Amino acid sequence: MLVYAARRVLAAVPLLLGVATIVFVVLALAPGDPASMYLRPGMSPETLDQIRRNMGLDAPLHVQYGRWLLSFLQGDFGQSLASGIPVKDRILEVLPNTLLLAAVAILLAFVAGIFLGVMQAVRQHSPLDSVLSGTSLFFYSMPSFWLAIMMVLVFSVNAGTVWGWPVSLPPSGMVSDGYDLLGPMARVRDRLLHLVLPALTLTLVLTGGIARYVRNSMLEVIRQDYIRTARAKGLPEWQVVWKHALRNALIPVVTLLGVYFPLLLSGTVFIEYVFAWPGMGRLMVDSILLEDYPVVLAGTFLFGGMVVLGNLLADLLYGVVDPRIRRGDG
Amino acid sequence: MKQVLSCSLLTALFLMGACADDPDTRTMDGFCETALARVDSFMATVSGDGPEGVRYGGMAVVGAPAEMGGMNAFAHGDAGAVQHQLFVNLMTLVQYDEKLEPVPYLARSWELSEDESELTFHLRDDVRWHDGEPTTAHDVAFTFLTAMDPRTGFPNPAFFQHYLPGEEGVEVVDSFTVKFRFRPHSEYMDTWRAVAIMPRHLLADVPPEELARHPIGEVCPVGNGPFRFVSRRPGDRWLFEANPAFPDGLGGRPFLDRYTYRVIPEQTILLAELLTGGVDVHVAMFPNHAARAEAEPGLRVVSFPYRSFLFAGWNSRVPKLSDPRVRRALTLGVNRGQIMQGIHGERAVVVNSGIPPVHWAFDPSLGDSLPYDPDQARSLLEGAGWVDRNGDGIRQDSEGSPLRIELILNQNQERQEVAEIMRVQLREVGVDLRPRVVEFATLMGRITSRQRDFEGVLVSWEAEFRLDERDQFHSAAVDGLWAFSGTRDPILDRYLDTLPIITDRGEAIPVWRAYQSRIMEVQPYTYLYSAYRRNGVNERLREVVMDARGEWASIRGWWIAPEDRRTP
Amino acid sequence: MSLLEIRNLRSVFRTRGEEARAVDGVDLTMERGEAVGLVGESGSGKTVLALSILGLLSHGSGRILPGSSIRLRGEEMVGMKERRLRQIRGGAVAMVFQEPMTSLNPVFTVGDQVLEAVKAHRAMDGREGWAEVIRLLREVGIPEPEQRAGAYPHQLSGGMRQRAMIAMALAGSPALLIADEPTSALDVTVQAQILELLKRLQSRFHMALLLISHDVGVVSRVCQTMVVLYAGKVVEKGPTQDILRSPRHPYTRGLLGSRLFLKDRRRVLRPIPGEVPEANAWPEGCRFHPRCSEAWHLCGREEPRLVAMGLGRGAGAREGDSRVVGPPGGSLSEVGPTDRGGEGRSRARSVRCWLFSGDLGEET
Repeated sequence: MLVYAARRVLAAVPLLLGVATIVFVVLALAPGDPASMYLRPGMSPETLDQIRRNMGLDAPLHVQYGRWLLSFLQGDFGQSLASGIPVKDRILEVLPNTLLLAAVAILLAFVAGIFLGVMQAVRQHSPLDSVLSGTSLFFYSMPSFWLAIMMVLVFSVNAGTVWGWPVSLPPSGMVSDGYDLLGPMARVRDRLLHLVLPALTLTLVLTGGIARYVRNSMLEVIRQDYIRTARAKGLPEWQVVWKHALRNALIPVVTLLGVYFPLLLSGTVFIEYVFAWPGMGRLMVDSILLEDYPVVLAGTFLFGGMVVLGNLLADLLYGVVDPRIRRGDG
Repeated sequence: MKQVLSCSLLTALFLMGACADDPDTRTMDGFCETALARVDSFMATVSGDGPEGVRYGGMAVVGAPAEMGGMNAFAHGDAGAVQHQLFVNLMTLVQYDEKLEPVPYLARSWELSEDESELTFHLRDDVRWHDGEPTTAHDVAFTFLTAMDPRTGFPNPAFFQHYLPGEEGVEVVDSFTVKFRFRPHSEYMDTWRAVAIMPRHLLADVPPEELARHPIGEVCPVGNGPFRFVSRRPGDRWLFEANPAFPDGLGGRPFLDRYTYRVIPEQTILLAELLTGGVDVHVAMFPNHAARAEAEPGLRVVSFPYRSFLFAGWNSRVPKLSDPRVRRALTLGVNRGQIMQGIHGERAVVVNSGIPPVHWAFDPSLGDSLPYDPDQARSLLEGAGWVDRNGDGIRQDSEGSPLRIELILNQNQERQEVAEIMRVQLREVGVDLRPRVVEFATLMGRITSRQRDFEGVLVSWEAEFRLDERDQFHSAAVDGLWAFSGTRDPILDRYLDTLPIITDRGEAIPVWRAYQSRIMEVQPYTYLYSAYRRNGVNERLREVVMDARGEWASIRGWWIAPEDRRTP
Repeated sequence: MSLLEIRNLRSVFRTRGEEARAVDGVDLTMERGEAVGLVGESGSGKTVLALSILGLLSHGSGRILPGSSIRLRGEEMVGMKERRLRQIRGGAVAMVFQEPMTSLNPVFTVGDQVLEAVKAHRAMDGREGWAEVIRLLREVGIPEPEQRAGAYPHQLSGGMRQRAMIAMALAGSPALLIADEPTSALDVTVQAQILELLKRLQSRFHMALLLISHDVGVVSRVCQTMVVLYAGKVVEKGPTQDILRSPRHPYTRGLLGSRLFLKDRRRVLRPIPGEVPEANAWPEGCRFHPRCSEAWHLCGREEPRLVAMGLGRGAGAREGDSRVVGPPGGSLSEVGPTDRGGEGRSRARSVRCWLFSGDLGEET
């Protein structure tokens, strides 16, 4: 199994390099260049050229590409053109933030999505089913951006000032100002409070899709003969649904897990943007706008890697949840 | 397949090697570790109990929609970064007071030689870099020489345009006296309120080519200003602390214990942070958000006229825009006052040239010759041969090609609104204006590249206090980056050559007026308006004074009463 | 008190928004240890009948209509609380389903699934329970039960799976085992083994067995009594041997005629033409008449009743040895073996299929 996984990952490396190369070419062909962020009124073309030289942008494209490839092979991904900070540091700095947010949101979304999906399937066509279907469709199809803003208006702005709720959640950022002066417990609380809105928004966005998926999967499973068998054994209904049906319904849901897995690294641009969450999504977008290609390429490579890993994870999980396709002796 | 496999194996091995230390990185990290350690130990020796007084203490947060560059005067020229260099982390030789007159800062005093070609600064001897090293004339000379060195890529070389090059231009008289030599020119002091002094003892050995990306800019700035750098997370926040060693002669340490600059890219969220007390100052507020903030008790909106203005630049290299009558018509056909009112209310001023309203040479009466006058616009266009020959409402030239002008702009709500109103109003006089939104990098590429692949561009411009529009309008600079309009006008050239070297403001004012009149005739741009800067400020933060110098100009005096202080 | 007494059972289930009356007035009585075969084509309502007994209809969007009665040892099961029903399911009444492939949950081991059944009905800790699982698996003839218990269903053959299903059914020591087409999905050789197993277990544990099959042959090997179901109604019931020897209802004869008699090469296979109609579109009158080769005009209008008759043609019926035959859509109550036979005999000719009964019900 380990060998299989390792082979899958390694086989993806050339592919990912190829993708990064394409991104490089696209960025190189795009109008403007990274030096343009230093453009100032009154600057002479010579100065601009000097800045380009200092950034190494005067070299022919293939040399620039070669440099990047070398830095990639050395594992540090080169330096950010915008800040001069090594790309590796830049990414390692924001990666845990994205990981935290996405992991919490994905976890919540799967728990909630599975719960709601099962409830809907068990009570198919009931008012509860319709209400939940409508609600998840609402959150699923609503512009996430707008949802995020609404969350802030409700839970931070109005909660405290208008409605006088005891807790008004911080609208943005990961920690309060003066976080480093707090005691350990207060730090945990502060971080949690800051996590609530972005994680909840992301959860709301993801849950609808998962719930629908689980519902359909459950409806399929609940008709199966073995569910009837389970009932005929005299098992209580919760055991029939949550054990016998759900275990089977979750098999296709594993695919979704593979799909959402890359979010752990890539984050979601809109959430990080709205909530000023310093994560990968924002780093990437900012870098793309600045044409800071070492960062963009490293990010692309990582995201691609996560997609491959996500698929691999889904494959391996299939083996775990479905004994019929378990490899080897299991 | 085998090859692919071995290739990937190789790559994987390299990837694993990534954990090993990289020599390049180590040097850089090494710099920061050493520098910050020295800062810490120096700060420990000077902090002590600190001054007594209710004003001392507390933390303030400024929220801004965009990240700023860093604390490296050799590299970072964006408005946010420059203000932090000037007012927060670094020092300049002089500062402007509210009347925009130079007052001592790092320099105690200065004198200009009789022939106006030598400027001598006497520096304070009690200013120390945050790592304890004294700030001396050598730092000033180093900053000058490095900025003058073309290899550095200093973003504002125009400040030193009239200085004698290299060692000829500067002389360290003694540790706290430095002398500059230049050809006489106007506003010579402006350079020294605009360029922050950089630490020579840390950067002297760095090759100029590498200075721009040196960690001192963004990773571990070491300054000498009222606030010292503590930490930064790119794209998120900068944290500064009061510098206890800031000279008593300049007021001593600032009142605030800490100052945080936060980046909150979404304007609505930024407003929410201001409303909920998460930030004390919200810079660059949307016009429609200002009303909401003003309605909130405990908040106020501080707005002030600034040096930036919005204009539509016309590329006169394009034949249909080469006729000044057409360009004048484009201005006369746009109701600039109405557009300004609609977006900014009273918080903006219509401008007719690149002289911002805060500048001493600004003359509001000049606007009268360019009112909103569609009829005159029509007759000008007719005179230029643009007539609606097929009755579709759009004018054509004699060969029947329509007067269609593409106006490029970047994604920006205000500019998009302006462009749309311009389109509608110019339609009335028979001009088919086509606004087109492009990526900012694309826009800059198109207007600054040699091809000048554009017709009209809607951008805003931030003028320096020391005005010099040579690179925009002088025919000698027509191939430079900033000559969007491609203007070649001998009369303008003469003014542009003269103005920078008139050292007396009294003498300069009539020349400026004549220059502006000529600009209005040539109409390289349709100048629109100069909007005020709007900033939301929480009233718990006292004595926040903001004016044309910038939002942070008074930060040393900001204070929070003990009862208003945030308890994190 | 009989083990199971079903009176006027009417069950409906939903298809395409309509309620279809799949079981429509069935009476059935089973005694302790009795093996009854329930025969009919697919769609005749056999499985719905079985699910009705277990109270499982509601989970498949079906329900038992009011007025129906199912008594288990005298206890009314229609309208019974779910909690009590659960005790009965897999306890007093257990069921084995048709498809061992799909009736076992693919993601749990066989042993776990049997263990669940054990734990649902008996207070046992894990170790005892597992020992019981092994014992049950051995009981149903699974070799090396210790190893097989850890196997997943897909790792077992069809016959082994069905044995596992039976083991699961035995877990609650049921008084009644319902086996719904237990062998239909299996190879012929395996079929025989499973039937032997059921027969052996039935006599060994003195269980009543309700064996549901479309195959008269299967039923005849195991059951003393046979009930023929068509279109939701009982059309004939009686001792298996009697029915085999002299089927009274044209449908029963059709069923028998459609069987392959391997021993008797002279008999020609004569399938019944057509199919059982959809449960929400039963024909008017006699439900079998559109397919009945002996139907006449009255069959399309009138619903003939179920009548009881004695054993043997022309001979007087023996007490208690009843045999009931009747047209589909038969009466609301089973008619006693010898009573009420006399009157109206003269109208026998009015309904042709009744001719075979030699006994007449009242004119409707």
